[in-house]
Amino acid sequence: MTGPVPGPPVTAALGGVEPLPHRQVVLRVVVVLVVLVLGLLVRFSGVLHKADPALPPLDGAAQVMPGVLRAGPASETELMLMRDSFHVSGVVAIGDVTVEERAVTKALGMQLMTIEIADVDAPSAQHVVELVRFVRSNTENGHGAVYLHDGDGSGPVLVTAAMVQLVEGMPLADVLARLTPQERAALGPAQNQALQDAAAALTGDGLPTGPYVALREVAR
Amino acid sequence: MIDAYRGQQLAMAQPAPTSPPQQSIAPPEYLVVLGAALLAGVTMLWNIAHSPDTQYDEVVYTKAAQQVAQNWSLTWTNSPMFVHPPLSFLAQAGWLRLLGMADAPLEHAIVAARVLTAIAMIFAFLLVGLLAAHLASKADRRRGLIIVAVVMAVSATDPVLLRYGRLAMIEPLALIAALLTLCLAMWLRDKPLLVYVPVVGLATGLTLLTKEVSAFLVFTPVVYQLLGRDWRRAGVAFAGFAWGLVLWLLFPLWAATLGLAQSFASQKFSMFERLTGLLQITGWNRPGVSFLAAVGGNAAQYATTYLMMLGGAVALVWLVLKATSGPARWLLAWLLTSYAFAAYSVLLGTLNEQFFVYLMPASIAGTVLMADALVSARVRAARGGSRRPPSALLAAGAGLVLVLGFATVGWARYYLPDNDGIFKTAAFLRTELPACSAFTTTAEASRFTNLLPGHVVRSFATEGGAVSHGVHLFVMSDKDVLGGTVTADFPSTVRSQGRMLASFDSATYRGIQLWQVPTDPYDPLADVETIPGGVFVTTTGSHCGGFPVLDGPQGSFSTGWDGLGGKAVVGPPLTTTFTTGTQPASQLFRGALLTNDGPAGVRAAQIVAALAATRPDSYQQAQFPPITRPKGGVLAQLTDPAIAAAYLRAPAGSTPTDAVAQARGRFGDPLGPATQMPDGTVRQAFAGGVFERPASSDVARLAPIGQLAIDAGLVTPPDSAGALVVPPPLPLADDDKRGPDQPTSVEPFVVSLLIGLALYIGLPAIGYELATLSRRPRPTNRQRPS
Repeated sequence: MTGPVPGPPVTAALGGVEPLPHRQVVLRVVVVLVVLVLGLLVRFSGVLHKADPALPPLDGAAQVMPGVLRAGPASETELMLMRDSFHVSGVVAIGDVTVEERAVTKALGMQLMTIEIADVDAPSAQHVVELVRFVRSNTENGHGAVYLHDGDGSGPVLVTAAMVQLVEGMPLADVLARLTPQERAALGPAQNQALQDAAAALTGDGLPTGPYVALREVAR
Repeated sequence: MIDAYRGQQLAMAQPAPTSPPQQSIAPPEYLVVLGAALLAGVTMLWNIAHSPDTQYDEVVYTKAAQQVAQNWSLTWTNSPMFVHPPLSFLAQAGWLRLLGMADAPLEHAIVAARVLTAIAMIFAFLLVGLLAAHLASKADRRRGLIIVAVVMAVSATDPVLLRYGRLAMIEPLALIAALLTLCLAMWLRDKPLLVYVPVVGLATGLTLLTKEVSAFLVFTPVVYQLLGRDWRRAGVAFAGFAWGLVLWLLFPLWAATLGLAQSFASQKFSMFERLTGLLQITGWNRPGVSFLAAVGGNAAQYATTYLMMLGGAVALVWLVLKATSGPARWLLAWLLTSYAFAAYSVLLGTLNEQFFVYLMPASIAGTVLMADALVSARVRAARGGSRRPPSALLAAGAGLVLVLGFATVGWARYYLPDNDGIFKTAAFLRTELPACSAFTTTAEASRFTNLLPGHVVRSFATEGGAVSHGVHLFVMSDKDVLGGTVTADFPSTVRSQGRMLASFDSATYRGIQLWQVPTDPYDPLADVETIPGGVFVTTTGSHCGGFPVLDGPQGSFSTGWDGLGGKAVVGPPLTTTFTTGTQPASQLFRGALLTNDGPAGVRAAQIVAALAATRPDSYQQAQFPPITRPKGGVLAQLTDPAIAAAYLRAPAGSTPTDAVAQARGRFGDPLGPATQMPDGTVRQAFAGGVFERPASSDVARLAPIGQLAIDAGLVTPPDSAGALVVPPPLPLADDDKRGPDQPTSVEPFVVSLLIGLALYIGLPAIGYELATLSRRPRPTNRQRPS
């Protein structure tokens, strides 16, 4: 019986691989792990990612108060973005409202409130009362948000949003200070007067028969 | 070239074999190359016209290539394409011109462009084989050929390489350029700077001018030299890389010659943000998309790719923990650059699936060579008494058979059956539906707009949004829906309300379906577009035609229509406004004839009694209620609450002051009682219209007497009033929003590239000639003629 026949030495086809000293192996393992951990840290710390924007990318976007945004009109995808990223559950259309907006808000499960006023007008006390109730019903648990808009973000939405701020207890001076100079300039005489009247009604300085006395019903 | 590498490699300080070379039986090299090319030719080109299904990038890139072939215009919009460099588009344009398909239908051009990229991918596989041959420096001829064959076979059946090699994408062209650069860098690694830098630098530059993201691959030679701590050669390698970057500057130079440097910088900055992960708008790392879910979802198709990636990663770790030189160091450098890029993309950057194309060659080569090393070690250890093949060898063989078998089954599953749903959908829309038909898609609109020029395509996110504009055709794929392009309930809404017109197989998109969603003509949220002075109502097809309802010189028809309840009550218009003789202006609607009564405004003409008298048969056939001339007050006759609410324009159960008077002014007096007709619907005739309420509804509206009035000859609108009007344009899809026209000609780039290449090649040649002349021995004085 013949014994085993040793063949030629079998070596790996890949040339140039030699063992490393133990210390080098440990060092390289540590380096690889450190790089990996650093990468994971960067990923999960979110350092590289820009902070989520506080406002949607719309013309004239501004925060009215926590949970209330105002801006120009939004397209269908922008409405979807606001629902998904800004938790907007209620939309307030001031002035004209398109059939598309009605259909899309319905499809997106959003509530739509319309305030039909002209560009140079201010909302009535009744409008504001309904609006404040609409805002509170959407934001009361801190889950939803409300988006107010008009035709271009610089019309009656400014005075309407300012009314909401007044009702929620913000002094008129602060309300006006939060507007940009362009937005202040865009307020018409009737709108400025309406703000004065609303502020007076809410502070108790106005006549008991003033046009915005009804706001006291919902004032904070 | 393999032999040249082998010769160089043997010359390196490797231990010489201790035994005489074994006589091995192996096929000639050319047979292996031909066999691999044949296999790749089959896997890449078989049924390429019908699979895989096309995608946005392929459509717009081929469109851009056709534009270049026609008029040098590198764009598919109205601004030049700066997102990717021009070289691949120029290659495709040249190819399409060569085939005479510069102005062919886009579907045909896409297939032709695929052939070029598939051929490029086949050559890329051969280059991977060449690299593997170099790396397997210690193998004898037979084992070397086996390794090359295995690497090429696995590459030719790899699912990711197949997926993107069979599409007219940039990746195959960029991959072949990058691998060629790597081969040249290996070949010339010891050559003087004056040889290495111009050659490798040129290849690097052309690679970067094909796609910048391949930069990590062409950086491999620098990493190789750094790993060897050969700082001088690292400098040479880096000079080659830097030279390539200089050549890439032709790209921004082109933008500058167009006067669009700022736009270029902006687009490149955006791309940089995307690659670094600062901006996540595509890929698997963007918000709302789960990387793990995406990997899991594609596991059935990409299983062997994942296996090779894992193998490559293990090979990388294995080599990191060894002292490497020569080929092993090349493999380590290649794996390091490839996996560093992949790891960054997965962890932090933009993770697009096609980026794995750049990773796979290193993964496959690394996996195969590591497996070979493992098997060799096991065989060495097992040598002792048996002539039987060692179990490690059998396991490796079985593993290879499994990988190739699984990949082949996947290839057969995805590429043998037709998978061209997009082309078929486009053909159906082109041939089976009117050209005016607008449709919305769950994909990017541009996937179809380029395939269907002249058709209106949009990407509405909601069914309600589309229908509100009069768009009733929906092209849907479940895969797009998963991508978040539409609301989650979009497909179920369309499917529950519509009917499927056609369905097309598409493994890529998990089927594509065309649905038509009809709407109730009285739906106030459907088919209405706000236009200056009123609205436009689509009445025919999918945004094909309709009629405006306007406040204008002929009367305030929009206001009047709204006053009667608008579309929800009166229904859509059947004509535009018209006048006949001396009659006041009128507009016919589905439920009423509105006429301009001057100071009283627009109101419903009192035609119901005349209609019943003129065409009693038609009146009864329509199941309209009898006219009985009831006595008593109006309110007493409003016995149906829904009809009363619609008539009075007040909530059910309430009767505001003057409501009756206003209602009589709008619709006229009741002509009979509310009666349940044989079809179950409750109807009540009024002078201006017949209100109806379906048995199952609590909403009333005017029954369709408009067409009946025409048929009875009571109303004879002129032909011009009945001619459909083209609807106003739909709001533009985000993809279709355009800025001002910009210059798009890529000709300046081509000119600068040609000049650059001429100088590149010409200057060294001139320099060489001058150097030769200067070294030539000068004649001595004695030799000079007197």
